[in-house]
Amino acid sequence: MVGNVASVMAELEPEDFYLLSGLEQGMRFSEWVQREKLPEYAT
Amino acid sequence: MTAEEVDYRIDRCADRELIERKTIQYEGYRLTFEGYDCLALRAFSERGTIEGMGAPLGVGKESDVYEVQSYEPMALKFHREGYTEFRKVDKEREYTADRNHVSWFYTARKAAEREHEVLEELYPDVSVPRPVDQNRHAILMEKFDGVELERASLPSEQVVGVCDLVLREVGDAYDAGYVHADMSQHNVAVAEGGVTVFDWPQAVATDHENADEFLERDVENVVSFFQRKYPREMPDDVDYRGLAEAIAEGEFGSVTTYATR
Repeated sequence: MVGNVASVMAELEPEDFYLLSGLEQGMRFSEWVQREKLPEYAT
Repeated sequence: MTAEEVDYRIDRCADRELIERKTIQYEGYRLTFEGYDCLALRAFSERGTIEGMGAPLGVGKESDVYEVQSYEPMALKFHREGYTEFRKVDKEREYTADRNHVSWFYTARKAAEREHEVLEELYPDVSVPRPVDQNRHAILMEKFDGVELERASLPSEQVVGVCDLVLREVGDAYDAGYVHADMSQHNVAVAEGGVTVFDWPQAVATDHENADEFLERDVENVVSFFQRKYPREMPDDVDYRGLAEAIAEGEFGSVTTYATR
């Protein structure tokens, strides 16, 4: 069961989306993205 | 982003369950479906196709549908394909880690792209939801009226007519080059103005080698549902194959013509 993100959306800031889309980029190559690689993906 | 900024964002997103963490072998992160939903919603709102999210319209095994605000109320469908299998095999996966890895969101995104493409081909020749936009695993469609066929209580005199109407949509889709391939009482909506057939991600082209088998199965699913639910109004036995062939040939008139007794 996946939760409804409507209320979460209102709280998110642009930088939160940078992190999420950075993670999305990294997940193209592996299921889990290493903590150390996140700063370069999330730009 | 600096490492400190990343730390802060990780905490915020993890608190909101938009990402998940693992600590075995190395510290790693991945998006949850909620996180992926946020990315799709963000894209729609930047494009101006969505202004606000509303109530759930339906929750299925492989999708969640919400009402959303746009220039008019619309339906937003998030594909969830791959989610359950992905949970199940997760433990075994740890070993083989990243080789041959196809992520759940790739599977879900492909399904959304496919469904959007099929809807664009079929609308408006077939009574399907009007496709509006697509991003990642989400498709935005016009909201349509009606009650799921499963839950509708048709008056006796309308039973055969509605069954014919559904089969005519199956025929129109075939004519437009597609077989739904998962027809059931759960993906047809019945309203005053007619029927709408939805959930098309698994549709196959009519030149697919098994298209005719899928068509026959779709026809049997629809007709046998009507037979079970409305035994007094429907014929006891129907030649499903003959009916499917007539639909493929564009010669379908009424299910009653194919009653074998």
